[in-house]
Amino acid sequence: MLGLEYNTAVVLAGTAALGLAAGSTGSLALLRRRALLADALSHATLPGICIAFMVTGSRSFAALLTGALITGILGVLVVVMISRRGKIREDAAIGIVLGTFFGGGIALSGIIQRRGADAAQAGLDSFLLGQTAGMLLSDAITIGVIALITVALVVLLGKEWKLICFDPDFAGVEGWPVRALDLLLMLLITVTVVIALPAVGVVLTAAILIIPATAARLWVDRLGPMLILASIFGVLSGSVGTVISAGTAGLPAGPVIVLSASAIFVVSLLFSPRRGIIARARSRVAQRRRQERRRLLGSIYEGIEESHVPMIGEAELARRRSWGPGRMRKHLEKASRRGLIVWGSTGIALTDSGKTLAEKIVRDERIWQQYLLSQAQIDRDLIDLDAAEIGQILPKAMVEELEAVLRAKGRLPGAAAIDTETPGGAS
Amino acid sequence: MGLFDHASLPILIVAVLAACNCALVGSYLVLRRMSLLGDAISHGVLPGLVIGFMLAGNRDLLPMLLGALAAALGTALATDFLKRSMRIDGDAAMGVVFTTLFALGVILIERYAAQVDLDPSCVLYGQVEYAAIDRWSGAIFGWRPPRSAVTLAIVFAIDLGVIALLWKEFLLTSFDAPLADSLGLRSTLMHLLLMGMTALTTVASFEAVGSILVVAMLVVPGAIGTLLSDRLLGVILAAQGAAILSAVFGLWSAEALDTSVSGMMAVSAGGVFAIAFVFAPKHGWLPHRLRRLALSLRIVEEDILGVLYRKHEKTHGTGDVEPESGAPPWHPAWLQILARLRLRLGGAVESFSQEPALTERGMIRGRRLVRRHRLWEIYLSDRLAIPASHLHDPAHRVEHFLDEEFTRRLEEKLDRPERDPHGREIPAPPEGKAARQKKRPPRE
Repeated sequence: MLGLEYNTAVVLAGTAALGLAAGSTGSLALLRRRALLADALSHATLPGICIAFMVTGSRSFAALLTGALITGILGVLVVVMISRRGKIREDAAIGIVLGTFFGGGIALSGIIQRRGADAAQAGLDSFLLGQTAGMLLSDAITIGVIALITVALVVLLGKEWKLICFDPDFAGVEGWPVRALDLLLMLLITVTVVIALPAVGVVLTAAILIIPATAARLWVDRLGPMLILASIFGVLSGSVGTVISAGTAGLPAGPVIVLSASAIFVVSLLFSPRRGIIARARSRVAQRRRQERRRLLGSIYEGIEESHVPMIGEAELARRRSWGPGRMRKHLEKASRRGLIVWGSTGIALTDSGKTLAEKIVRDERIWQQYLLSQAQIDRDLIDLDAAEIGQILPKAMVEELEAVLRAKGRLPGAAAIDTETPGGAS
Repeated sequence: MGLFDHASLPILIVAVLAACNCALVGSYLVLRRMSLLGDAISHGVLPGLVIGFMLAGNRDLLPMLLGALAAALGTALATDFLKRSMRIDGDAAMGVVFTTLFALGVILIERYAAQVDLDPSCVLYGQVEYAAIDRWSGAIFGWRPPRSAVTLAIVFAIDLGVIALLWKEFLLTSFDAPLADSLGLRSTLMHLLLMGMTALTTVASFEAVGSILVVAMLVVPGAIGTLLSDRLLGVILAAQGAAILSAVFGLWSAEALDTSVSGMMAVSAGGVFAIAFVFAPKHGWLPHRLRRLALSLRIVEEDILGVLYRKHEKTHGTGDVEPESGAPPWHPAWLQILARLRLRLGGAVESFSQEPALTERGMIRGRRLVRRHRLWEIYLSDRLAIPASHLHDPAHRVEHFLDEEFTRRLEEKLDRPERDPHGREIPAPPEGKAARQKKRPPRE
């Protein structure tokens, strides 16, 4: 940071504080399902900015943000009013407010432009896509201070908002002022959007609330950690975006900040340990492997059981499992490394531990089949075996009952009928 | 500065075509609660447009269109992926995807396309004003229409054709997707088709009117349509009307104020929506209020007549039991004054005093009310075994909502009772000519 000018450093601190506020209020907005209301809200601020400019005639930061705040709140109220009547759904109401208010803002800025206030118009234009380069020191400080107040509020009322995010009905029954808390949250979101406008711009401000929070949600399942993580993501994207856009001429800050957040999101999407794409793909593969291993042992056991010879040829095994030779080889080698099978003179035999495991697998399969046939009245053709641990699916008494049936048929693995004919283990 | 003069006509044509196009597809989006998909797609197409533009090196429409279509499809699919596979809340998924794509598009423009006439503001509010200059190379009867008007007309024809061809399918999948599936219609396919049409329409309108107007025109006319009609065709036609109105008025006001056409079109659409929201005959705010007011007035009027009739019964009556107490005190004063005024004007009472005498007409209405009240009390007491102390309040509410036919049948069901559970007489029906009349002649 030593290379930065003092001015840039302050602006950076301002946008970092902004990211902090956006991450934490964004998380609450996301959980309260207000993500796209924030979009309507940010678009609805444009006419306010223009009107404030026309009234005061200057690009005074405080005046413009006040104007933004007023029409932003108005926009939210209109959404609520329209959707409460019932005929128009909330998504349509959001679209109506977004389009109409923003269109109004564009028309107003056109009027300002035609009046010849070109220099000021340039200032207004920076509100569309955001700009941190021209930000005054005092502006950055204002943004930072408001952002910190917002964060303090989130910390202070976090528990109450958590309640109305997850179970508003319960909160109401418990006597919490749900409507007041909800309104306060809406106000907080509005304030965050408004202070984000100069840096991120009207068009993209919603993103800085939505993206860090959504990314954080991929990593954690609890509100507290989510708030912290989303804030960190917010700070990161705010400061990285600011640095990049300040270093590159003609690059508006808003899109850069948003893309920084998006990059964090994509990384989260890929690498989050439980919900990430890679982790999920890996667990899917692992599960398939496990299943195939079970099938392999099961097939060997059944082959031995049918032929009454303690070994099974690889050709016979391949007939039972429709795997290609490579895949078969891989599974066999893995099983042999685990000490479950050995290669004998005429084929593959189960070791002691292999036999125990295979017996359990086949036993579970057959109990499940028997259950589906006799208890659940499922047609024989429909039975597609995918039993995991039978004990986890069926009650103990039921398992015992089914075992008795299987034993009577001589189809219970490990029971006397087979045991006598199959020599334990293999040499 | 006429709307139909030489300079404005091309702009008007482009504006109306873009608005109608968006409104057509938008009607379905609103009905299927997919309004924000339009928003998402209109933002998400940007990088596709820019990449198409960069690859082609000029503003030829086809490469930009293809790029944008790909991006639109990407927006929809990515949103779907985040929602279905990653279990991210639908709104948030959409928000993440389209803002990211839009940011990407803006940066692409700034970095690689700014030299050529493509800049973010043109993306946001379009260039309908240039329609007069940018003409099609061909000519129709010697007149060269604006280039974007030709594109929009073709897209409009495609949209109309698809909708006309698949009218029933769209109707059913929009309102009852499971039923459509069970009948063998592919609701997913129709969904994809609609998204494709949205993308096509968005892209075609985009260049002319900008992304913001696309959002406004996709959602607002459709919403107006649902306020004005309960039938699909009605919704679509009303939406078209609203779109044309917004385009014409938007263009006119933009010329009057000398400002952005697409901005004023969006504002006009908002204005038309506001009017429809307040005045729409069935679903509007004002008619709804008026209907409620009329109902409240009728109830207060009937309550007043009930009080007066019972008073009359007490002084002239044959009954030996006190009539039940009169109107409840909870009607607001202004409603009572209004109701008394209406009773006087309608000739139901003889003066506008606090306790006027009933005229013939008022007597009939009052008697009907009391008759309904007491019959209902009998019904509650006989059939539902409700104790006598709890009969009055429910009867007092229901008495306003039983019509004559129902009351007559109720009386027959109850075997033409003479007295209510409190022992009060059941007044004869005012026109009662049947058996009851012989027993009890009219009291007037």
